Amino acid sequence: MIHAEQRATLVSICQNLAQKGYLAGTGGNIMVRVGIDEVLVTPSAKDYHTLESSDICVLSLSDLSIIEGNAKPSVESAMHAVILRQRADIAVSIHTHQPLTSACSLLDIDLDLNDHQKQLLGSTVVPIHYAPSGTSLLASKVKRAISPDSNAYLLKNHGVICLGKTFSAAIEALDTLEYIALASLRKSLQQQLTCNTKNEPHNRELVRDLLAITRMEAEA
Amino acid sequence: MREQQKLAWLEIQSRLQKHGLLEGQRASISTRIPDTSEFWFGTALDDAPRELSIQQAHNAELSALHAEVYQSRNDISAIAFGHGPYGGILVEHIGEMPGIFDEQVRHLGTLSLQTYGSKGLKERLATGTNMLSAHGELLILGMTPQRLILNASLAEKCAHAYTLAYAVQGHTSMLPWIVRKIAHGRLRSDQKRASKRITEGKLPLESSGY
Repeated sequence: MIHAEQRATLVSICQNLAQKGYLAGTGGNIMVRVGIDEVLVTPSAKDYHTLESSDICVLSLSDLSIIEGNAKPSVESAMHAVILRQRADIAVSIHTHQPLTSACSLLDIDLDLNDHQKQLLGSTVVPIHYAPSGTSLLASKVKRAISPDSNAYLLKNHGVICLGKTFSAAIEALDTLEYIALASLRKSLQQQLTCNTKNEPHNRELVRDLLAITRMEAEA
Repeated sequence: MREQQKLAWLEIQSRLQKHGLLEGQRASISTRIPDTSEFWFGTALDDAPRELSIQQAHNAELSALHAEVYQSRNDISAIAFGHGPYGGILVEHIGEMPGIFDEQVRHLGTLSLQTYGSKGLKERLATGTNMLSAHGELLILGMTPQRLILNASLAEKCAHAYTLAYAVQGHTSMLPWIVRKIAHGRLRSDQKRASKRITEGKLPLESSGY
């Protein structure tokens, strides 16, 4: 099996991200550059909790032909490939369905970044209009949106893509984005309680319950 | 097959408990035993499931609910009744979830407002959704035990995102109708294949792709 060590690392990272709830069900996928024209990609429709090294596919970055692997490559392989072809400075592209940032993908809100966060994520979190999962339309929208100034992309009604030179940089970007999303959502919930006097009592209970449960997440 | 489905029951219980997806006082799990009219049933806290008849499980409310699903839906092999933290909030405060994410409409369907009584449940089961509310809990269905585990995790993630978005903005953008139509069609095709396998006394095969 070629790239055995990198495959094992990728499996371990997938399982950690699944444990954190960033990869839910079979949703989310990762591509990592392992050679000039070789990438590893996670398989399609596979439970990340039972993922094994042999499930990881080795593809040619230029045409996405399978170099090694028995599993079907992720349906988002083309989306990741356009990123890695366009951003030669990036080795890792991670797409997750992490819940807090996914909540922001359902809303029309901007995620504001401070200077420290900009160093990691780039100048802005780039929003990308909706296109169905696994389609060439989504890959083409991502291709048009990819910028050398941003390592974070918000896919409408879908999830997030974070990029990094290393796994740890890409994962730190994911965590930072989730933290920003949590802060932004909690701020909006607080405003619902304090500013919106027309809010119905039933919705106030919903907001209070969500503030309580997200406080635990913020403290964790 | 009987032992395989008993082991599957234990695996579902372990995985869902580990991720906090079996909250609720009536949390329970079941797996169908193909080629029989029986199913494995137990609560979230039971050490092991017990075997019950689909036709005769009417005395105890909890097992009767599971039996009713198996009677109504030939494509279903496993059921979880309960919820995660956000699934609980979704059912208690909002009660419905439209088609907002691709994977949701492809594998779960939408959650519609609860209609009380057995007739209401039958009607909602007939829509093909794999996510329903009943007695203040979430009812998650899987064509296979493995798919049930994935669906329960997916339901909680969708509930997490949706409850927050709904509370902040009051509404969220739904997927385009054509996307929902295609995804629903693919789910129905999977369900037809699963139903055929179960009628033949076999376990359904896992869905191989999006």
